[in-house]
Amino acid sequence: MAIKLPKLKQSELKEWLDQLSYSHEGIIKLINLFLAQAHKFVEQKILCSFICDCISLGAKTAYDTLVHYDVVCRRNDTYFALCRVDHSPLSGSTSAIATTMDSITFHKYIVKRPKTIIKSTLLDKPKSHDATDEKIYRDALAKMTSGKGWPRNNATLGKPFPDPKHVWFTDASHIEAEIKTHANTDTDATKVRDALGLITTKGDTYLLSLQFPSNVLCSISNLRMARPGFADLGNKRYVLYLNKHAENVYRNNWGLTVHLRKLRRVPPEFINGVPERICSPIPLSVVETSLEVKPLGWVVSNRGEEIGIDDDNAFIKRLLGRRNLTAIKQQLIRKNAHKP
Amino acid sequence: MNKEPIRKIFREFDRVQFADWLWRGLQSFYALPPSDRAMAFDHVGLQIIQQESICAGLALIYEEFVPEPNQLIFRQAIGDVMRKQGNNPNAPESAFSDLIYLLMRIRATESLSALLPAVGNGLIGKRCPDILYETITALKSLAPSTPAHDTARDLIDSINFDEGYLFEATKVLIECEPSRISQIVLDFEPRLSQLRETTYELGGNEWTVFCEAADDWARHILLLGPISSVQELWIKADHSTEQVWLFELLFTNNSIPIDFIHDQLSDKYFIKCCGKKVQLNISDKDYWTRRKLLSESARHETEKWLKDPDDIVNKAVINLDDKPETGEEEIAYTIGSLIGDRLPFIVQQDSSVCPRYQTALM
Repeated sequence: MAIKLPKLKQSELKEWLDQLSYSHEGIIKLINLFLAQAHKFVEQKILCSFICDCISLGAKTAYDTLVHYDVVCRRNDTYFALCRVDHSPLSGSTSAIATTMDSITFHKYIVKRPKTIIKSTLLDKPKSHDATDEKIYRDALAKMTSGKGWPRNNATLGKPFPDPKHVWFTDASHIEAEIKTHANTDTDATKVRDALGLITTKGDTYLLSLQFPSNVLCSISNLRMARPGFADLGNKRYVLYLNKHAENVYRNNWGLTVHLRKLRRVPPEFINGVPERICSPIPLSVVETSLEVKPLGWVVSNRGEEIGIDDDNAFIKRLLGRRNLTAIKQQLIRKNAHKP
Repeated sequence: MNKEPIRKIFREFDRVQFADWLWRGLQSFYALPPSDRAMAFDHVGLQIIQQESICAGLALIYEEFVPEPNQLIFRQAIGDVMRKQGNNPNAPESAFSDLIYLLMRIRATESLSALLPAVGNGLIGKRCPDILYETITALKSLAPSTPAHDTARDLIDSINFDEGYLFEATKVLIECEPSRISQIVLDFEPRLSQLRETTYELGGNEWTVFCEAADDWARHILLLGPISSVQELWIKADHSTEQVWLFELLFTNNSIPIDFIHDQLSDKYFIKCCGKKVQLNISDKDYWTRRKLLSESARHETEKWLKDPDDIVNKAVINLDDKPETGEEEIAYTIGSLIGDRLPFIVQQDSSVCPRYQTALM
């Protein structure tokens, strides 16, 4: 789809950027827009077109600006298709890919309701954190997923439910490696949550890892797959370009998560998480026979709540580094606004 | 995002306003195209859409944006919405499903009773039978509790109840009132028997599913009582061998202590009663393994037995000698009468596998 360079008025762009910078979430988006352009992850005309679309919805408040950002991302698949070029779909990946899901979401949206006379129900998570209860749940889950026909018709992998937009995935080997890391005080699920940067996954969540062979993706027609970009609705802990140590990852068209545990550490260190990609929703029917549902266990802590340690402000400071927000906005205006 | 302005708004909300906000939000969410759903739910639509699912989003709003003093009325408002909209022919099914999952996530037991008028007797339960699945899951998840028990009890007798969920629903009752296991099983015996007959006649997968559910039900029940205490109930569903259905149920009188023994050498199972040891037609190792997980005391007892099964046999013999007046016939009669009088339903396809009264005596 050909997009002409839209005329973005300087005053409109300035106002839009100012509205974004009223909230932490907006600032995180703003910095990522800047990074995407600075590192040539997006063409100027596409970025301008995106901003024009957002402005055209006429936000009156900072909150509306964020809502409209979200709406434009979801409405217009063009940005998914054009923001990145991905000619080597799974270069750098090994055998299996993994995506995670809260067990409650899994049971609500993925598991088929029984159609036999006798209807059994499966709890959507272990009854408690007790090892016996967890074993009962794991056994029941394994029994169900080892059979055939357990997913709902038309069920898809992706988020958010009920109408998924993207699947976020990583190489399954990264999950295994993360579980073996030294943070012994954390549960496996907590380690994985941190490595994947899933800041919205709170304590007391029972996490599942859904894994399947990477070559299955090749069999899905019209599947689009890419490095995450500025229009992919990442959570509040995403960054499109971390540092030069991740160059190799980016070159292979993978993105990189923000490691939530590393983010907490003082003195600062690199917050590189694990390589990640996104793709359009995957029909369960395609992966069902090779899908492995692995319980990771309980996440036992929240992230992003300690002021000055890992809250939004602390993350923004980390993102900005030696840059300053005003300068970033000016640069975006200089590069993209149509001069009056 | 600064949460305080939204908390301030929710601090002013009363129960009616929460119910109204929830329902308007849900309606709008499902009326909008998926791309525009951040516009649903005044003030916090964006936060909701950014979570893994709408249910997770609503739970987050409850936890982080509804001030603690108002959390009770928020939980109650869920039930208000269900009561009010349960007979609304235009209510989106998905919205009800979301409410039930929200109820489960934030443990809103205050709203469980609303499941009866909405799902049990209301239009939504009739229109969308699958919603019973979610309802039963919610009850299981929130048991043991009095509201879960009462709702399950009422739901079982409601208009829209699907008998297929009877095993699951009675599990809730039993978990809430483990001391009444025998009575609960007796109460539902005719309906369970009917289910058994129906599925047996149909055979095939229906029968297999019944057997698995019955087996699972029995295991669940046995998890609720310590193994070292008097055995109240014995159920064995064995459909794995030769498709022979063997369904044993043993009630014991609490005044007669009965111990359960597994002889590892012979791999046979016994009950010890009145100083006699009686062999049972039970040979499912997995069953026994699960029982080992029951409780600390049970595990201890089990390990003790497994460690030295001969010792148990010897003790049994000593016991037998201790009470020479207790004849074999009397024990057979005792066990037989226990089975015969108190058995809520005996199902035996092959009497040679498990003769009803012919309990082998040692």
